[in-house]
Amino acid sequence: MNIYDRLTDPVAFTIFLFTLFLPVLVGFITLRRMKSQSDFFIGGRAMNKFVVALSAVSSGRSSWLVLGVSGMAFLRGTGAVWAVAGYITAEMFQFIYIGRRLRRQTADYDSLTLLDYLESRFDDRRQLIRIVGAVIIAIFITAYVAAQFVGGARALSTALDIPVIAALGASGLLVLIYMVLGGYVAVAYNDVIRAVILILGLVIFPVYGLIKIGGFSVMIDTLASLNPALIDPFSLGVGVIVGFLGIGLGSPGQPHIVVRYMSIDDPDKLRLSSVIGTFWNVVMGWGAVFIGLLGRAMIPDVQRLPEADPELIYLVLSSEFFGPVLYGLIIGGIFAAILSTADSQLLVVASTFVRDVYEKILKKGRPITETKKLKISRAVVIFSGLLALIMAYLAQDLIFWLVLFAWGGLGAAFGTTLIFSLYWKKTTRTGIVAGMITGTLVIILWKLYLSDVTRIYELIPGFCCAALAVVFGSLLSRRD
Amino acid sequence: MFRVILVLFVLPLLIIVTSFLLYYLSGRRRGEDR
Repeated sequence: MNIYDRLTDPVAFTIFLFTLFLPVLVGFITLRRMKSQSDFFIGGRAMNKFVVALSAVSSGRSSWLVLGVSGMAFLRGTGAVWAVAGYITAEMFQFIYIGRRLRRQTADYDSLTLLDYLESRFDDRRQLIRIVGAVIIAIFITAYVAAQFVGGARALSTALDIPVIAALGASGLLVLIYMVLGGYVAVAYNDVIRAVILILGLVIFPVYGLIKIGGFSVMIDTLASLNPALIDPFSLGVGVIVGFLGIGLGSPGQPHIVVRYMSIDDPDKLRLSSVIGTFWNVVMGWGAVFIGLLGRAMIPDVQRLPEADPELIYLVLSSEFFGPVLYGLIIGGIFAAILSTADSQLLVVASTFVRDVYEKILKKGRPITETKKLKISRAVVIFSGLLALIMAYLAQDLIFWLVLFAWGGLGAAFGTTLIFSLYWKKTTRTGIVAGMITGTLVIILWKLYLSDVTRIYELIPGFCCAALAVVFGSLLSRRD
Repeated sequence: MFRVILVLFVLPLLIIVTSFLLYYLSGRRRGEDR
């Protein structure tokens, strides 16, 4: 069974291609807004609250939500809600309690990146924070982008029956064109379009599925008859539930998510963005869980799925139930989800290269004209995109190894340090550097050696140790 | 069934209601969080 068979339908194929090429159109439309480097990397701090809300929740999710969470609900039942409840709650608070302060302070310091902000906040003239932070971002986020490209290319290659390298080149080219044209603004508006496409599938699907199966109670009864644990949300055990909720600890440390808050036109509007973003996050998250549950009730045997992979349940159901328009849109939506994370992360990598490494470390902050900065920024987007694509093609094993640590590593390294920098006045530069290094190391070591033994998700100890390192580092270096 | 309804319907509603509450509560302290 090939879940992409129905793309041979001309209507489905046209809709699918439309979702792939629409972002390029957005790139051309947003081109005229690119006048400075600030426009290119944070939309000139002039983004609308709806765009910020939807962009923040859409770029944070990737294909993990539509494929991973629905697959998890298929396998583990209602307990999958804990995997979405944690990050949704964290991001709800984040918009208001991290976003607002960060937006105000980054405007005061004229910071374009997270590292820019941390350096200014701690008056780090030796640029230790910037150097350590840039290394962490370069490793984890470049691997992240490359992994997204690999995932997208593999799916595109199967869908269109073309070689993986062609699919990789095509998806990379698509992303790079609109990024070079419209920078952050194009990326953010494309996130909004993708959030709408994603939610269409994630809302229509459960409603349609529930009607088809005969109602909610029929679905629950069917699941209970298969395995009573599927309808017990606490059957996973405390350790797993805490681990799932702990995914949320990673959100404040994702540079591609927090940069959204920095881009809003008025920091107080983040309050409303929080409501909009939370609503969208809840509908998407629970939609994905419902799809997994419905899928299990309809196809109880995982062996009936292609390659017995539960993560394909969303695609299998859409291929079986929907007409060509919705099917084309849903398949396009998967790529949309993958690319909306890839482009946001690529922009973080590019901004780190241009702003943190080139301008501040290599050029030592010497003045460069806005036109030249914009040109360099565009060139660096192309360079980092190509780098990620080459990594995606040549070093897939390394990428997937690095990506295992990426969400946790970034969460522990930047989440704790960001929160302390905003809320604890005694925080020092040494504390921040200690926190970033400790967080990254604990995540890697725990994941490698203690995760299986303790069954504790590495982000929880990583986050706590990084926090302790910030506190001790700061207290011991108060004279800095 | 109670637990299922709790996590599939009550929990998401609770999160959305909390976001509205946060919206109003954070508004009161407007300008004080710098």
